[in-house]
Amino acid sequence: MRDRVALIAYLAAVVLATTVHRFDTLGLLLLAALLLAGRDAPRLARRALLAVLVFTGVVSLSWLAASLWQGTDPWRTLALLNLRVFVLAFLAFLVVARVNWQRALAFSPGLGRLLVLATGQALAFRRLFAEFRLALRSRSAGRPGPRALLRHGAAAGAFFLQLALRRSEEITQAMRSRGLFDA
Amino acid sequence: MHVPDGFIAPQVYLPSAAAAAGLWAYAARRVRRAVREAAIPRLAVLTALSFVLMMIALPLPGGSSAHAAGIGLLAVRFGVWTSFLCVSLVLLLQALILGAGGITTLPVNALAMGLAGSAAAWAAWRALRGVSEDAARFAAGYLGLTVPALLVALALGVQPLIARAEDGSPLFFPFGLAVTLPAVMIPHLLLGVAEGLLTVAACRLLDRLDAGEAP
Repeated sequence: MRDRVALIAYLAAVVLATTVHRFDTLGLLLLAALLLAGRDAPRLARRALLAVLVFTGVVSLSWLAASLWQGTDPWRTLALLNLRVFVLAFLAFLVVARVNWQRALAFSPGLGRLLVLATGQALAFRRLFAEFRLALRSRSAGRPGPRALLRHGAAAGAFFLQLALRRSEEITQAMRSRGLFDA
Repeated sequence: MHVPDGFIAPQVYLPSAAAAAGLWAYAARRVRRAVREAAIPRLAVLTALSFVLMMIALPLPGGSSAHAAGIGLLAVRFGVWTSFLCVSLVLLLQALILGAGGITTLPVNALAMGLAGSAAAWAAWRALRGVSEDAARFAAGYLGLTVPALLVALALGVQPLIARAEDGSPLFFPFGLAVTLPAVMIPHLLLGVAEGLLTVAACRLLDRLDAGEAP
């Protein structure tokens, strides 16, 4: 129940942060999120900053340059945009750190199972793909050329597609044998 | 194409969320009807597949590289609705695991990449496969990347038109269509070629593996 309430509160906070365009409201929302994060606040703030840095940085610098070029004031837009983006990213990392997704989505057992299975498989595939990358690097004398990258990408795509179909069959059988499909 | 939270106005993301929710429910029913009890494991591993396809490096002119989308490959092999669900779930996982994208941009990205991208890829493949299988697969890969890019550019570019402060300053993404269309589309029109070639190469390899030949 706690997780579901936290998820609903997060969604409400997201809507609030995008419908209110006042610095004091967004500042209060950030303060509340920092207090809720407690000792994790610096770590979560760092993660949130890194996650949005590239996109927000490019947009902010471009807007700054365009405004200075046109002789308009860029600061209100920049401050509001950056504060809002940071608040939303911080809230997202806070909710990811604190909410158990399976419990939060317990209203739909199918969705909960799907998310748990997909997350586990995605993390396993990501580890395996890191080995593919290392294999390409160890077998290339220099930086791999476009042809090598394309062949490597196609081979990885085909391998993971076959692996996915095999795993799908295995997981279905494992779930069936454990009675998960017995209505 | 990963737009973080805070750049899309609620006038866009709330209707998108409502539309996406209905389409997710419809897609889930279609997939469940097709593969019955295997629906959850199949969607889970195909989501993981889509997750890893998006990590594949695409070679670009000048020696640089960018990430593939894999939408064409998914749409050609598994159909529009499965591809739509898998890409949507990947966007959710990327937001939760990597912090890429966001919860407000999820429905916009899911509709653009998952639905429009998959539908364009699948339609192009169906239309051209009678002419040439390779051309059809290339078009699927190309459109699977460029059609979503166009929609994301449009979604970003309309923000200053629909959400402005009283003094006229933009409240969300600040640049209009004159900036977003070329900024997003020019790189993606090039990337689409690499994505199309990757789709052709991966499909050919799969044909050989399906036929029992060693690659």
